[in-house]
Amino acid sequence: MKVIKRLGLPRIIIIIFFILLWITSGIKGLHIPGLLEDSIVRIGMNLIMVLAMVPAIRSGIGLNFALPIGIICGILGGVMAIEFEITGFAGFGYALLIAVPLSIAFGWIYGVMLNKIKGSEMLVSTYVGFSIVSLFCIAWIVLPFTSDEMRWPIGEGLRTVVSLESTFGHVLNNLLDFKVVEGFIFPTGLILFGGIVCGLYYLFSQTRIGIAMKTVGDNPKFAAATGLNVDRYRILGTILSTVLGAIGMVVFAQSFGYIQLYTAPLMMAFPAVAAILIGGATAKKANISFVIIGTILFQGLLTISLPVASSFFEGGNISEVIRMIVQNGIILYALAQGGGE
Amino acid sequence: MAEKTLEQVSQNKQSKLLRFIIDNSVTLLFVIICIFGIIASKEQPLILVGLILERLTRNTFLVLALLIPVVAGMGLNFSITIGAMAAQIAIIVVAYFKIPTQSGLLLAFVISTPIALILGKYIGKLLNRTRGQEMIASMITGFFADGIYQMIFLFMAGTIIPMTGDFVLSTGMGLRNTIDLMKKNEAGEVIGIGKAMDKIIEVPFFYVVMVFAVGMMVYYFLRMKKNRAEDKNKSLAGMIVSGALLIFSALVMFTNVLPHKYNLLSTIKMSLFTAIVVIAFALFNVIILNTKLGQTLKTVGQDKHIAEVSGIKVNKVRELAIMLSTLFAAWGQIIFIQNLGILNTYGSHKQIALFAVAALLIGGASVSKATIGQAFLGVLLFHTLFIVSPKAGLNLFGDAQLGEYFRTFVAYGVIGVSLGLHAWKTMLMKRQE
Repeated sequence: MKVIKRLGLPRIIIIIFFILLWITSGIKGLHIPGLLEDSIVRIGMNLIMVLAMVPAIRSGIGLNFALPIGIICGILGGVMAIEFEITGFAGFGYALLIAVPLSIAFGWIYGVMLNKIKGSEMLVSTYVGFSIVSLFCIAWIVLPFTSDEMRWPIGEGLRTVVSLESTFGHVLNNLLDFKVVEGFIFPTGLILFGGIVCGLYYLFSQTRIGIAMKTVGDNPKFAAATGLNVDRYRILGTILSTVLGAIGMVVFAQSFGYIQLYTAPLMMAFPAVAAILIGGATAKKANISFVIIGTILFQGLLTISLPVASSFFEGGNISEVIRMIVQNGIILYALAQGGGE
Repeated sequence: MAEKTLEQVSQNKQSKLLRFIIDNSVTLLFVIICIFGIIASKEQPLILVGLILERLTRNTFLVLALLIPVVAGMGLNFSITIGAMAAQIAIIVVAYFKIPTQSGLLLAFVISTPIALILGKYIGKLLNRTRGQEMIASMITGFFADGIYQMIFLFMAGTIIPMTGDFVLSTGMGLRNTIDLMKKNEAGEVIGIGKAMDKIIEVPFFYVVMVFAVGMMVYYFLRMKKNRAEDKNKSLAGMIVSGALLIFSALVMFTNVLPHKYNLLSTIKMSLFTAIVVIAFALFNVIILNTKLGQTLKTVGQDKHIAEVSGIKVNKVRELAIMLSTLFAAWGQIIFIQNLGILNTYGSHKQIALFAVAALLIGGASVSKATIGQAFLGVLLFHTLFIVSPKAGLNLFGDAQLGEYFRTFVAYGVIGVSLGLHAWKTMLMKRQE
């Protein structure tokens, strides 16, 4: 009973659903190795974006619904790499080189803004994220990119989907990959990179600054009393979150093989928020184990729900509908848990 | 000393003007953007007036649905999306059983009512558990409900829910993307509920203008007779304006002396009945806010603790506010869809909350204060921008898409800025205490 209470009903439903889906896929005779590979790739490509929630929650700004700020920086990095035709690992590195400083700058500005609206961070950040994405919809048309890879053959602006095949698509996924069994290739580089970033973040959280940031998030008044500059640590948390969002986007894009422009990043914060909540986080408490558990459960669930569902009936993207229900259901649950004034 | 007070007075005047500009900065900015957009779009006055009129009648009801939760201190109710879903469920039922025109419309209103009230009750309960975060919770609730809605109509319709016929996709599962409400029978009469409300009374717009102008003239004439001399200039000006309006309308309607593009204005039709419904609903809002219920809502909105102490069941009142808002949103959505004449099964409700909230904020409302005038002004400005921005984008940058992205940016941006400013003010006030 205690376990049930600690996990909360929605998480138990999700876990049971997750297990049921895997059992069903076994019974239905679906290609398990292929499903495993898809799941691991999806987990790896989303991991860092979920990790981006941790510094935000720890520093006390709550769930970072303005993740699209970081994501846009990541996209800008990727687009620049294509523009200058830098391929392979150099392209990936170049994308990060552009994305990280940009996201530091944006994150800093955004962090300063968040300090002025304490108490309403989540709502405002949602609309800041939406605004940034729709502003960049205009930018993708207006910005003077010249690469034929990206521009529409006729008309103005960039394509809605830009392929990375000729630049840095799958560079991490293909690094040191090996065949486990027939039809299951393990994306070593992708998982390794995600692991390293998580590890680095863990190391950071153990430093003096990391601990101070957690103190600020846990109890701002106490932190202020002990002489910590609350606002500065909140800005630091925002910057870190935005930077991780940017890195996460570049990793996501290389694994996906495409960069999606225009309105595609609009809703990208929500799956990341949902994943960490499923992992056991709240708007005030988060650590790396929540990130890993949550990403495995949520992305794993989404990956196999589609093939399992389509083994029963034809047509319709049920995975998308399940995503909407699970993702928003868990966010609502978390909001209701933290409710009351 | 005297000099100082004089200085203060002039400063006061200046700061008053400054305050006015700051308080209405969003609205003023939009007036400028709209004027600029109208010029840049080079839109024909005929098309522009017609379109704005149509959007005013079909969208204002939805924006007015936001008012009561604002008064009750729950902020902008993004979950009006769910009211829209209730309306669409009703519309689908009516269209499925092929209940024709006005009776179908009436039935849609009847069916949507209990659905909206029940859903509203639960949303209210949920929002009571997320106090202080109502707006984000209402938004996420909308997304969540959208998932359920899609589950029902994409996967359950035709399988669990026994539905057949031309609505259902060829696979036998799920409804089609669009449902035509303007379907005609063999005799060529519309049998769907499309335009069923608009068609009840439809008159040329400039007849309405003429009646309005005559009314205005009479009003100013009576005032001129009654009032003092200083007021006379004002009344005279009013009479001249209304007279000009009357003459212009008469020229448009009855003669051919004006240039062709103005004469075309005579073809603009106005759905008088729908307009009357919207205005009556606006008046209903005024009345309800002046009753005991309205007072209770206001008390809850101003201070929950005081309300609690004075014996008001705060949670019940908040639930009621959301129930009413959801219900009105449902009715508003029916008015909206019947005007469009086509139901986009999975899309018609999606942008409802965004556009309604953006319009209200552009009209000058805030999270804690909104009036009926702001709702009307907001719809006028927002939809003017909506109409002209693609053409303005095309004329200025050679790309209509650019204008469309611009208006989306404006909608999100204005909500973000307004919410941010409100949060900032709240924080400053808390700090001062």
